[in-house]
Amino acid sequence: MPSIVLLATLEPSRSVPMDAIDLSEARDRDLLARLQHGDEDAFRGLFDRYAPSAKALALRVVRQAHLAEEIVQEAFMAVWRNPGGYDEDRGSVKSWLMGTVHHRAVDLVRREEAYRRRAEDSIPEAFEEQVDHADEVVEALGLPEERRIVRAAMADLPDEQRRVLEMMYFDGRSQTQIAEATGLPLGTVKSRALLGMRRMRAALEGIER
Amino acid sequence: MNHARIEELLAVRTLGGLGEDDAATLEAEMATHGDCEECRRIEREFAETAGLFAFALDPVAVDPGMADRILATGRTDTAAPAVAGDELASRRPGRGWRTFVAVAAAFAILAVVAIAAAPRPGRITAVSAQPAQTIVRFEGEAGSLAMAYSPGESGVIFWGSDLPDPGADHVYEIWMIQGETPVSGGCVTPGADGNLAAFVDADVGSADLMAVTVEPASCPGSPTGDPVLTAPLDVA
Repeated sequence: MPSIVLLATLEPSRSVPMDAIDLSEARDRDLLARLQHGDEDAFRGLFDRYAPSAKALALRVVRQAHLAEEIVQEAFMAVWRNPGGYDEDRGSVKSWLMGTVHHRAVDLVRREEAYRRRAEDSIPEAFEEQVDHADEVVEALGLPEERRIVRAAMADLPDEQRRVLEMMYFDGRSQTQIAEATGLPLGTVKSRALLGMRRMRAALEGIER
Repeated sequence: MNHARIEELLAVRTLGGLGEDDAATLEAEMATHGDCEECRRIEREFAETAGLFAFALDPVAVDPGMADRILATGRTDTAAPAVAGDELASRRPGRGWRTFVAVAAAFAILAVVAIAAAPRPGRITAVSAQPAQTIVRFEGEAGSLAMAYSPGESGVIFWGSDLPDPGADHVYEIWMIQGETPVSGGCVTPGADGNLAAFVDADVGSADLMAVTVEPASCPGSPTGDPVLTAPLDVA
């Protein structure tokens, strides 16, 4: 017998806009709902779907594979232990998951700067096309289109905005560190981050949720 | 109320770049806005945007034993109450099913199925389907209902609006029909505003007709009433 998950609490004040739900997100919420019941298959479904991207993000920020692995494990452990930690009012499951991973990665970088590998060329640039053995996995997950769109959106950013976003999000640097590294006034770093985020928000609106 | 300052600080915070001083400034600024829907919207949209950045990266293989290790650690929370669908019993249809199917078919007049990405005018404003998804709009008098699914894959999402209250101790039951055999897709109740958004973990691939009936809250395994909404599926 199929399970049913109501995708939005139905009180008007909490309802999710009808145009803000897609099948992928619905499937993720279904998996999370099943997690509430301790469904291990649901956990594996969510893990298989997002752990490789989560590790890519963690690795990009902390630059050490074993630390990235720990971050992913901690993040998914938290999901398994407390799937109720997700609040649908705050966005999609996948963004919540990646936000959790990113937060942990940045925290680690801030606490343990010594862990960071300084050789910038040890990890490929985030948005360069590259041969990847995980491509088959991505194809199976139906994510290539999503990846293409996000990359294109990032590539369309003005260079100065993209650089700030990359340094801040993917390198885990603070606004102050970026200002020091680039010689830009702190206010300029903030405004470029804002303008970049606005553009990315507009460009990715179609695939969000 | 001006949200420019909040928006800038939220952008930086979402990217992980906010310093302690500015974090305090942001909290103080947010506090002055109180229960601020606009603040929440900005925060939610930035979080949603940044959360997608990870998908620009090539995924990296994870230790194949990690999921098992996590599952072996056990859980600290308790299971939540079962959702409605879990309690549904799977039973064979009753004798009245032939009548039901006939009525359903007549009701739908086996009209040309509305399988289109562009929804017709109505309260269901949009269905954000991906290319591989099929959208089907139900026909009938009981408000608007549409469903989206990927053929060959499990999972169907339902959107509804203007759905009448099914009445006290009654629910809407969704049926997937193949030939003369109805299979319950579960029971749902729209909100007080008549809206509904639900995901059903089912494969409609073998069904040739979808139908919705009003049923007792017990959510019977066989339909007891006539369909109020139907949607023929393109099985070709």
